Amino acid sequence: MVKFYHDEDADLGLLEDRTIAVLGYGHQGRAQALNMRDSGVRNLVVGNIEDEYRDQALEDGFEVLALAEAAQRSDVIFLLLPDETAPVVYERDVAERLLEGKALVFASGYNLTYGHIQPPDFVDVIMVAPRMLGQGVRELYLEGAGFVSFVSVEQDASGQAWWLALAVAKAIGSTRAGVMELSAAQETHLDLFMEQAFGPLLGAAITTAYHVGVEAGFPPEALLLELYMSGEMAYVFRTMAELGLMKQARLHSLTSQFGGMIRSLALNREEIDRSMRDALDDIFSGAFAREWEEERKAGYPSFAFMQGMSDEEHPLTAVEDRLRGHLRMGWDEIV
Amino acid sequence: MVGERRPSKEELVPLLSRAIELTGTQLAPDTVRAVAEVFRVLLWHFVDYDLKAYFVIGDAGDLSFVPQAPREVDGTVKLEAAVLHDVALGRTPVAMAFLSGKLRLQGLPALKLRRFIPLLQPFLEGYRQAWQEIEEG
Repeated sequence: MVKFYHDEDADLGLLEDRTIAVLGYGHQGRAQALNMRDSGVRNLVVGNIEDEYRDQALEDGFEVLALAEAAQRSDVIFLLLPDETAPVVYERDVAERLLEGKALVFASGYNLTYGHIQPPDFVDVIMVAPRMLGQGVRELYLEGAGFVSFVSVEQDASGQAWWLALAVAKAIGSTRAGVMELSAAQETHLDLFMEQAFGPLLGAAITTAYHVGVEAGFPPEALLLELYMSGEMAYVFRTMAELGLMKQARLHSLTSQFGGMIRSLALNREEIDRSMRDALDDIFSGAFAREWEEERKAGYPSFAFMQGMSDEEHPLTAVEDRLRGHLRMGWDEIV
Repeated sequence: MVGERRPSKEELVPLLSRAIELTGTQLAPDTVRAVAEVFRVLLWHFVDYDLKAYFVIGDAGDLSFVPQAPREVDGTVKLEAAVLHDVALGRTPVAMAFLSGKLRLQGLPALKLRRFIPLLQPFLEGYRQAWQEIEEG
């Protein structure tokens, strides 16, 4: 049975006498550090290399140390670094500074699942993985709302690791909404599954609808408004969460329901099903992780080419820019 | 000068053959070997000309375009000759060709595409050069 934990299940007191280090002041690092400080966590330092993120941490009023020094000084070490960077930092700056009684906190299970980081058995290893972008983690905290996280104890050397995981989740503001126990391996596989099986299909549905629609003579601006820029689609997703995928359909007109249902029944799902299962096979077997690691070691040649492709000027981007100039939606700038 | 003209059906296979010859000169043997582990024969189906040509990596790592498949096809690239031409000459972004469904890769498992991608840029450059040679006589 799935169990959720909330504010009342967690005790921030467990963090009181410990020094916390947030290694990596990127999107998650910054959001979690700021949230923890606002939650009353006092002994908090940031570990970062000399870059613009370090400057940001200083500007935000944190004591900023070199990565190794932050790891040395702290009892609870947050590794909030990109998946591909974390193993290097761990080996170079963290591993030999781990002592009995210390704890490692991960926001993603990736490196634990695929064995890129293998902590010694005398430290606690926990995962608190927000299901929210870093910017959202901070914004929702400031609004007094919460965000969901997956939480797990991967190694309980102290016998207190679970309570530490809940305290961390509370400090970053996640237990307001609720956290669910899920192992690092399950979190990793699920995360990759959504990124590689669902995400590409959603993107393909949007771009294909755009191209087919433009060819059919619809104004590109109208197409993008319908697809996502009016905010209606985001609202529909929200009603899916609040009412349920099936029940929210009743909010739409009968014409909309009939048309959507009949086309959905006729959709050829065989190819979608096969593509999703192929992705899962590569995720479960570790083939994807191995291929990505090889790509990293080779200096990202294929990734750079694909990034170059996505940087190419797509007509859709120009339409988005034009629309933003016309719309008064009250959007905040997302950096 | 490379003008607006596109290759005719008759010009296409010689053009591709020359393009792949030029591509071969730009690729390191290691790159070709890595690609050969993923596929040896790739069918290129040019739907506007209803023309099929086979890109082959030989045992010695040599690259060629031939009209008949020497062995089982490992995957298919489906596109219009006009789309390849426009992509190679920079008139259509590669991403657009993929996203609009005008350039489709079929049969190659997603992860294996990583080894295929390093071929694309040199091939497009080879194509551009080969076309320029044709246009300049």
